Amino acid sequence: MREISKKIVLLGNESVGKTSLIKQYVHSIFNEEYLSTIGINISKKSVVLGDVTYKLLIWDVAGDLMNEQLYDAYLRGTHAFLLVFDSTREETYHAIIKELEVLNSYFPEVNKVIIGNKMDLLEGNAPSFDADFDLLTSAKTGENVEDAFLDLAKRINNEQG
Amino acid sequence: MDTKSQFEELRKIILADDREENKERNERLLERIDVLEKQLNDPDEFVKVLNNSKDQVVDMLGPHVGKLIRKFIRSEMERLNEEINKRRKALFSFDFLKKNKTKEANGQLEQVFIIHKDSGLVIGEYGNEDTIEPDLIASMLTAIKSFVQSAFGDGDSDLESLEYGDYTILLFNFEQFYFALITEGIISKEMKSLYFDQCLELADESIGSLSFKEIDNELTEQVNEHIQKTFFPSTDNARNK
Repeated sequence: MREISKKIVLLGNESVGKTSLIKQYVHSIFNEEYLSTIGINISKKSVVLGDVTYKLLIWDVAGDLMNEQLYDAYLRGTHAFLLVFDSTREETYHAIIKELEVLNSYFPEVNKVIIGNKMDLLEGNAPSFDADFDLLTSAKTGENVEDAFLDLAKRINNEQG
Repeated sequence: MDTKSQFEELRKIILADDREENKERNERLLERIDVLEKQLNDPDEFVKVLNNSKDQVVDMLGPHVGKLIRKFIRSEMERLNEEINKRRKALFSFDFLKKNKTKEANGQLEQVFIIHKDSGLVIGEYGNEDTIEPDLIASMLTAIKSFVQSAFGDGDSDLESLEYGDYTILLFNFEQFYFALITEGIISKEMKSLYFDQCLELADESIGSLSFKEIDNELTEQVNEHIQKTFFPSTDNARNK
């Protein structure tokens, strides 16, 4: 079976649930304490699409903590971005949209998937504010988390096809 | 009477008393020797004699015992000195130094990674032992490199090595990728230079012409083989088959 490696960068404000998303649904992860020293957490997840396995190396970047130069260095060579906001906190969505604009200018060709996390805390099926996103997920219940990574892999796959 | 007879007669007259005296003295001496012999043969008696003649024994043996002790100490010191010299010579001999220098400087190459510079993805990897999660290690090394370069670098410089315990990770940077050589032990400058030459040769002749637009298992297997042939020629390539 063909196996393709891809670098994925996970972005989002503090406490939107990025780490929780990663923690329970990836195959392997580096020691968190060690990596927090340099503001990054790296994990791996494999997604199978037809006869191709995508080996996703996920860089969880603590964007709030680092300078522009380091941020750029971490984002270099990325094949897809996973942008996460807290579906119960509007300000986290706006932060992601702002981030998206910057990414579109620097990485126009690279796929971006927007995820509204913590859907288990929503009163209805959607956030209470206007938001344009690809998927709602819950790191707590696991709902749609696999789909988020699958969606990402499909976009990469279509891009290559 | 001739002269000889006269002389003999005169000698008898003169020495008669002396002879008598000597005879008596010899008899007394023999008696004394008999007594001493008995005392010497009887341990209890001998101890008594020694106890009664301590001063005489000390006076008689003292100078000899002192000499013996001095002689013993001198002999032991010479022996010790010889032993020290022998060990010193062995310790600092050329062979010893050569043997130990070789051992110290003979660091071992454990694993070689070729990592895509921007993405941190593994282009190829080969080593004596399988490493758990080479993908994560490669990404992590790339993140550390970026962090160090951003925090301390002036843009032109790059991280060249990382040390952890007995391990040293040598990093050789090329345009699209970098080599990470994991070594154990002390690596001499000559060895480092040799490793760099091998990386350069591999980059020029085999890896440099490859496309890294997509890093898949076909590409990594090809690169792994090149790494194995260059750095680990004596091992088989079973890992990739």
